[in-house]
Amino acid sequence: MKMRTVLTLFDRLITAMAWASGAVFVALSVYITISALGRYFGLFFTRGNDDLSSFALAFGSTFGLAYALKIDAHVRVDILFSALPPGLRNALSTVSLALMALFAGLLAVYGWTLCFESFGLGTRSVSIVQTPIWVPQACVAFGFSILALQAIRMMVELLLDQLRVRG
Amino acid sequence: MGAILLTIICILGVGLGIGLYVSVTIGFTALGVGLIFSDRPVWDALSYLPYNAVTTVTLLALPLFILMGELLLRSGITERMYDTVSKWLNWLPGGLLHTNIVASGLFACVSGSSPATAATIGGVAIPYMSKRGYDQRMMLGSIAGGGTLGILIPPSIVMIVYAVLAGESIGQLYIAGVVPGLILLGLCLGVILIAARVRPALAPKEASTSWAEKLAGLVWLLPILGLIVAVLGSIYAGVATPTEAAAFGVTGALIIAAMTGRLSLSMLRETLLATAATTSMIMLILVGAFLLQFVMAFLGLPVAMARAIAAWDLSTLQIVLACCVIYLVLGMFMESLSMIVITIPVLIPVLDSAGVDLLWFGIVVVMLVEASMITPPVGLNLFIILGLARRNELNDVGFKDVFLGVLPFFGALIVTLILVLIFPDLVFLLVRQM
Repeated sequence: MKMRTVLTLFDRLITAMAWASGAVFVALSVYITISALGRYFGLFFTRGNDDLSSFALAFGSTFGLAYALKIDAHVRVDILFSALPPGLRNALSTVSLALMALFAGLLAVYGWTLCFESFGLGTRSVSIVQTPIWVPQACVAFGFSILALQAIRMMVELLLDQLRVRG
Repeated sequence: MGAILLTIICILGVGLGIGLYVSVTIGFTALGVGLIFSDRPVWDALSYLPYNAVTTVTLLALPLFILMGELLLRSGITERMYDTVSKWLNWLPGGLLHTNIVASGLFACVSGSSPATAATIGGVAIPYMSKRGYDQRMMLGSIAGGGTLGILIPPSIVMIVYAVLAGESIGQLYIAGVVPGLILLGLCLGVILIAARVRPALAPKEASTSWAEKLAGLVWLLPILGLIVAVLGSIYAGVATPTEAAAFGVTGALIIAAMTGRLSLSMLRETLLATAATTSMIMLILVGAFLLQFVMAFLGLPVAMARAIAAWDLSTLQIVLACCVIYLVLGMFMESLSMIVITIPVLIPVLDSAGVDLLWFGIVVVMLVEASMITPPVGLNLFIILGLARRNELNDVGFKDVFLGVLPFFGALIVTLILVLIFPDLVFLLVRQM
């Protein structure tokens, strides 16, 4: 029972993260439009747009990763795959998810390392606003971590399903 | 060099073949090759390269165009645009088939993806046309073929990815695609015109519409035309970067959705989730691509390959033709973005040292990617159209019908490609005016 609550909460987290990643792009678009109009008509100049853009991209491209895995949006070449018998297909899907978990796990571990280094050194971006760089790095590492967890979860569920069918 | 290349091809081939995730396969290929052939650790690259990839500001145009397309798809503006175009073109032999092509071309001006264009136009056209006695193959083929205009006519996701990997300007690539795109559009219309003349049974005669109706319909083209000016005009005039242009597009699409009354919380929720899923999927593939590009450069593979190919003493045209053959074959089996991401880092240094213009080659690649969308066994547009046909209860339609229907349009695409290969000026015509 308790496990199920955790999984439901995790599902909500994944969807909320994807939602936020999309929302960031909407907000950024409106902001860029306004600042471009301001610049064009010489009304006002916004500073640090590049920082903002790169942070938004870092956030937006990693917070949707786990959701994309959940709804099967990560592409695979399935021409050979779809011709295989179901047993083999399940086995390969498990391998796929395991490798995804490993890849995302590696990215997460190295991402957190980078983030902690920047935090320790107090690295800031080379621009007028000088934002501390560990913040977007933490976002990226977090996105990869959640992707790894979702991959492990889907792998375990697939394995349990197969056991149930056999057993 | 041979051993490295063979290892890369083997790992990629096996990984993709057994249906592993494309991004993961590319990533592990990079790591594997790095670990086998380099004595310096590749692990360090794992910390900063992925971060560099997801903070490459030029890539921001990508999610923004995806978002814009998702918004427009749900805004209801395409139904009205389709209706207006049909009023203007119905008198032509072939009727609504022409509308499929022109509406695809118009939608392509605001969409960066070929499957999205095919899905959007197909979603409007198939329910409408299937009850009116059109030849099914021609109907489905014109939508699948018209959809390929989505990436040749800018903006284009494939162009953004190519530009970033090849170090070309996104804006110039956009503008370079316009003339070949218009030629392809014209050829597709020509195909329909000839087909309808030879076999009038392909399309029923549509009722003509009055001038008052035609003119009244133009109102619904205004939002799309406004977006085209904001997105392409601003780049062409040099007042906006491709990212800013994409941001204008999103803002415009929001305004259009508000005007048509389709903007709601649930619509916005769907849009945001779809954008997030597509964006992160592409970005993870790009993370893998950045790793592979890094490892290959690290091992000196592109330079070695450029030398080896230079030793064969081929002309630039021969090299480009060889690339075309490779892409056509790969395109039959691979998803387009993965194909670009895997091949471009290897090919670009080779082509560059052979003196091939990378802007021109970019347009050639985009056309080959289009071809990959409509060639079996793996042609995304074909599957999308087949799926739409099934959803509209055209149950006797098979994959073969969609493929046979798209063949004439595939021919038009190949003719355009040959024209661009023979007359590179078609690509540079507008770029020089910028």
